[in-house]
This record gives sequence, C-alpha cells and structure tokens, in this order.
Amino acid sequence: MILKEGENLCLQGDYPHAFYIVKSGTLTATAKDEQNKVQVQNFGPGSTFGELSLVAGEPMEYTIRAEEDCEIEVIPQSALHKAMAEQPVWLKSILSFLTQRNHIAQENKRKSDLITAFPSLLFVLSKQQNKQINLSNIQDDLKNFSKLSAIGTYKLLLILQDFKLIRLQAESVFIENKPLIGILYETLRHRAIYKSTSPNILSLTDQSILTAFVKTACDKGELQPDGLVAVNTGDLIAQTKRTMHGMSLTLRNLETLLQKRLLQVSPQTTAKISELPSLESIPKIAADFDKLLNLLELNRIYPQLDKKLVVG
Amino acid sequence: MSTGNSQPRLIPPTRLRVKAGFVVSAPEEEDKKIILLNEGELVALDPKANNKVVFRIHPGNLVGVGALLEREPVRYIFQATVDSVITIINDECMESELKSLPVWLLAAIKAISAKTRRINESIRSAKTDNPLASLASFCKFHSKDELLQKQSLLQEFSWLTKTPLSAAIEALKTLIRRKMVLPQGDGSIVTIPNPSLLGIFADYLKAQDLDIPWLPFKLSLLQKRVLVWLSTLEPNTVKDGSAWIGLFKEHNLEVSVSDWLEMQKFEWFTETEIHHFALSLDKVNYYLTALQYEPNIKGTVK
Repeated sequence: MILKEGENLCLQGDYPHAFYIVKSGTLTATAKDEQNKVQVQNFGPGSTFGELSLVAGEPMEYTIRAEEDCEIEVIPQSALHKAMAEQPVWLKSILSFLTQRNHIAQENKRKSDLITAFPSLLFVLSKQQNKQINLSNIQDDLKNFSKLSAIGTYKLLLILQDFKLIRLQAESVFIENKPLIGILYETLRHRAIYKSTSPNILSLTDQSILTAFVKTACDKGELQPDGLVAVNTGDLIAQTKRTMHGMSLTLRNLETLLQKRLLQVSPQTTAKISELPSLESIPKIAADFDKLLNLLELNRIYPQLDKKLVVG
Repeated sequence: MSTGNSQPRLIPPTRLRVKAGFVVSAPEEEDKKIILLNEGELVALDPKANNKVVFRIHPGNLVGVGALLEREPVRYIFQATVDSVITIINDECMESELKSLPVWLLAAIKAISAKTRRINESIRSAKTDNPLASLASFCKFHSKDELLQKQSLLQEFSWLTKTPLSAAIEALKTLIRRKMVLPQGDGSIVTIPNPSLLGIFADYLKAQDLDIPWLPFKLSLLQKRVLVWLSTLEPNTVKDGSAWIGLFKEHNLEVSVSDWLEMQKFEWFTETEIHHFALSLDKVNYYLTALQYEPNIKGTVK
C-alpha cells in the first residue's frame, strides 16, 4: 500500500490484525503512556512492525504516521492462516509458544517492575518532611529511581493504603504512619544488603509476648518519666498465659526481647539477664509503646507483602 | 552443473518411540533441539536440585524452543515417565523449515523473539537511564551535613535502582567533583552541604537528556533582577497582575505586561483566585539556588 506524507497508518490501540514491512520511506511511531508522555521511534525501509497484532491479535502499541510518502507491504491475518496451513503442525505450536512466552515475559516485567520499585517508594515516603505530598512528585521520583510508570506507582500506593500506611487523596498522598514506613524500608534494605532476616522480624513467640505486653499496657500500663510504658511483671505473666494458651513466661523466652531492648527491666539494672534470679524478681517491664505497636504491625504486614506485590 | 531446483530441501523432524526412563534431552548436550510430545509424559528434572521434578509435560506441549531459537542454556533434564512418542526438531530440521517460510513470516517470528528478549533483558537491567541524575535525586533526600558512609550510600543506591556499583561510584565521583557531595576525613564518609541543589541538578540533567531548555539558565537580565527582588518579599504575598506590575515599577523594574505574562511560565507565582497571584517563594529560591550554583551544575566549578 502507498501511504502519503502525514497520513496515519494506524492508531495506538487499533486492532489491524496485520504485520507491516516498510518498503520505502520513513514512518514515525509515537506511543503515549498513561502520563501522556510521548515515546517516539522511527521506522525506515526494511523495518517491520505489528508482529503481535498479526499472530496474537494484540492492539498496536503505537500510532504510526508517514513522515514522507511510503510504500508498505501489509500482511493480513488471512495470509498467516494460509501460510500456516501449508506448514507442519509443530510450527504452529512453536509460534504459539513464542507468543505465550512473550506474554509471560510482559507479565514478569510488570511484576518485577512493581517489586523492584517498592523499596524506592518506601524510601521516598520515609524521607518526606510533610505529611501531605503531591502525588505527581512521588510519581516523578519513582520514575527517576525505577522507571516505574505513574500507574505502577499508583498501584504500589494502593498496597500501602491497604496496610493503612498512607491515604490517597485526589492529587496528593497523606502519610499515616511514617515511622512504620521507615521500619519497613529498613527491613527490606537489611534483607537485600546483608542477605539475612532483619532483627525487626520477630519469632512467633516474641510477637505473642509483645502482644501480651501491649494488652497489659492498655489495661494497666504506667507512663514513666523516660517516656516508656511500664507494666507489672505479674500482670504480664498472667496476660501471657491467657494470650499464649497457658504458656508460662520465663526469663529465657524474654531473653531475645530484652537483648534487643524492645523490652526493658524497670527500674533499670546493671545485672546481665543471666544474673537475674527469676522473672518474679523484676518489679516491672517497660517498653517504647509506639515502637512496639509499629513492630507488631510490621510483622503482621511483612508476610503479606510478596503476595500483594505479585498480585499487584 | 546446477539442477535448477531452487526449492530448499526440507529435512523432516524425527519421530521417536521412547521407553519410560529414557532421557530425551540434558543440559550438557551440545545439539539443541525442540521436543514435541505426541503421546505419553515427560518430566523436567533439575540437576542442580538433586533431580527434583520441576514440571511435567503433557501431549501437545513442547520444550527447547528457547534453546534452539535463542541459544538459551538448557536448565533441565527431560525424561520420559511412561513409554512416550516424541518429535525431535533439531537445528538442521528447523533451519530447513525456516528457509521454506515466507520471508515476512520469518521476520515476524524473529521480531517476536527479539521483543521477548528485550523485555527479559530490561527486567535484569538497571532501572535508570542516567545514573548521575538518579544518584542526585537519591542524595537530595538526605539531611544537610549528615555524615554518610560512602560505601553504604552506594550500596543502597545500587540496590534501589539496580545500577551497577561501578556506575554508581563514577556518578558519586562526578557529584564530588561538582562539590555537591563533600568527602570527609579519609573519604569513607561523605556529606551533602545542600540537598536541594542535588534535586535542582537532577532536574537540569533531565532537561538535558530530553534536549529541552532549562528555564533557570534562560533568564534575561531583567528577569534575574526581578527574581532577586522577589526573594526579599514575604512568602505568599498575593496581588493581582496589575498590582504586581505596579510594584515592580516602584522598584525600578520595568516589567511590561508581556514580560509579566512570560514570567508566569517560571511558576514564581501561583494563581490563587481569578487574576490574583501569590508569590511562590519555594520556586523563587529554586531559581536563585540554580543561578548561584550555575558553575557546579554545569560542571565548570574549580
């Protein structure tokens, strides 16, 4: 076919079910992404395009316009059917395999883009001075770090919104829990850089003890002058028994939490944990309450992250 | 003497009947092939995981396309679990078949393969086209004069953006040369004296990449004088357009209506209500910082 200068061959999103070979002339292919930013590509003599439109009936990725008078060979789907009828059956299987592999690669890329960009989003959010940020600024930053599309960024923000870490408001993002975003980022960074589980990820026993502490503190906690919240050890022991289905709290199963200083003996002592005679000899146990709440929340959402990111 | 027969000779695929347990393909084999299962069942075994079964292949399915067409490494051993019938398409067979195809079909097949290869490569590749702009964006988020371990800064940046460490090191050297990042002591620690400058620098680099003019370096002398004067005003000063022009004139800044309209593209003012404009001091300071550090941004600083 002959295309005159300035004429469009097809529009982005059209379904021509055809493959094109440029015989002469130059065409410009433009594609708008969801931010209306335009990508441009040129096709000169010998160039081909529309292969997935021909083989898999996919929409055209570009709007294609003749920059000068062009001669183009158009291969319609009927030609493909005719050619395949003359070929062995296995060639059809190979063609469908290649198309399927392309779809799998596209899907893998979509997932990988989200997974790779997620830490960048946490980084950007954790560094914000204000609680309310312009959505387009975040989208620009994510583009700088991860080449993530605006829609991709929005999908990630929806995941954070599901976890109640942020709230999307029209053109802006409201940060609900910046410390938790920071802890989540540090946890992922630790895993990636040190190739080991972050100390923020707690065992089930530690999580149960901290949950018992939180419940005890909500009922009978006392705010100390140092800002920590303290509970009577006896109350904590009783609450743990209820929370952990009869399990007794001992110095031994408190050890990790005391070592990580997530829980502290109150009043403070210079004695080592192993030197303490018994749990009952400690009058009170104290903790940074907000930090505990964030850690418990982190441990709740962390195992759900991969699934959320993969599903998108 | 030529026979005059221009039809390429077709080499047919091999159809085989194999017994249960027969290994039809293994990673160490040099000859790559596509195996089409006609009857029976094959399993893919992973030799790196104690020959663990990775997946099963049922009649009508085929394996080895990537190996034969893309020269991808074969990762699995394919073994028949029951007596099976397979069709083997080797290099010669595929080549002869491809030669017999119409040129356009061959081109379409190659284009699909190339597209898939590009997508797979892009998954593994760095997530930024310009490591310097990206590192500058990353650094702008750090606090002024915070002591930063150079190595961890680079590692973190490299992890976030998938930029190779070597490229990240080069980008950091450029920022140090431009005095936007300052090495401390033996150089293992760095500080950022002006984080907002790094954001401005990243914007400048982006404009350069896109080959578009970067407005802070396109100001006329009058616009620069207006900018300096605006920086002395209270933030969020609001006036209508003619009041702003009048105010400029009071301060010996001969701004015409067209100058005023042109200034709108600098975003020094935001329209709060119809014809009322508030001074955006953040944007004014952005321009001022850019002008103040022009040699650093352009890389001409000594």
